[in-house]
Amino acid sequence: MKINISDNLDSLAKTFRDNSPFPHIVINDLLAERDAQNIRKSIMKEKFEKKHSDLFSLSQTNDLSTTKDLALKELYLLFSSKDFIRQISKITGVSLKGKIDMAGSLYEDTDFLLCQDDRLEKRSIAYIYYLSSRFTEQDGGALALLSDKEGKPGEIVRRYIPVWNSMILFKVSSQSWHEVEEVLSAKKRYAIGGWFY
Amino acid sequence: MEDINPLYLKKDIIDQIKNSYIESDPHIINLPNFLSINSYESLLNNLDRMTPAHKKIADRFSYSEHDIDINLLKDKAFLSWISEITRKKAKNVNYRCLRFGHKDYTLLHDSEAIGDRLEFFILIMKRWDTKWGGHTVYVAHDQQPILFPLEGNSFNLIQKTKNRHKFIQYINHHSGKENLYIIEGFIE
Repeated sequence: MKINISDNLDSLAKTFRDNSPFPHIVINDLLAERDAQNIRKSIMKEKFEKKHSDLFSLSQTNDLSTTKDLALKELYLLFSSKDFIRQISKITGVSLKGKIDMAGSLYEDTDFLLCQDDRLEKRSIAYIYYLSSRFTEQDGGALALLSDKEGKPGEIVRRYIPVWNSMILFKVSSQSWHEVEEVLSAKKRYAIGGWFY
Repeated sequence: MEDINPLYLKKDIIDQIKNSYIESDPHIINLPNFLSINSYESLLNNLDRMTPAHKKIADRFSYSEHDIDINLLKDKAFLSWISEITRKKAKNVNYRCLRFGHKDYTLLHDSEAIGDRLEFFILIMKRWDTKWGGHTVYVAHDQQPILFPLEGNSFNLIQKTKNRHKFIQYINHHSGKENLYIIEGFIE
């Protein structure tokens, strides 16, 4: 398994910095198609636990650092490898310690994540690697990024419908207001996500 | 007090409510069919005809707020009734009337700065399915959340403590164009 990121990290770093409403980037075709398919099959076999709060309704796996699935274990090792951390650090301009969190998420009909900034326990960069295919506007489940208005979330500035085998990275700060819009169909929105510390 | 179901004005029923309130922990009452049928339907029709202003701060709340007077809540006899049930002097009712539809919610942040107080809410809706969301939920650290029944024309009272906070569950797309009205407030 290999992560496909352009060698031109300076160009990716510029895109990351310039994107609004806060620094972020979308990297398409992160893995080779066959690897992505294998990861999807593996994540679908993991045990998901439904979680509810005022802020969200979704299903999650345990942290994948302890997974017994070989493909997911390999992905975890790749994401936490020194080479990949160095690339992420270069793209985001953030010095990273090497620690990562990684868990699978599943949003089904009516699931959502309401607006939050993700700031907790020294999280530096958030990432979401999408494993759902053929999502459209009508299916909901878009990641929405909101502007900051004097310390409060403002308007939705960018929306990203989940794209198969793509990864979104964004910088966690007091202004990184984001939400996952409600899933409106029977399609299952699988992803693997977490934070670089 | 003619707006209240006459059942709830009977001495023996009031005694039952008093006991139920005092014996519950936290102190709670939930009274179905609270308003008289005519008062409830008239209120529902009035609310359905209004177009309240929508308010949203994404990390706190999303709802519409009605500008409406509820005569019952200004009636001194209502305060006396509350005082009798809670065995505490009730002085003043502060309230607001909110409308929740698809994509509306409140988050715990909006309740966290509020200390001990006697809170109430009345639910008003034409048609509602609990699968659509909209439950009023009170949570406290290390305790089971309290979910109040989603029942139209129910009166709910809770002695809120500073460590117990409220939110209203996100309302999902299966609610279509239906609305849930909540007259909520606190009693000083």
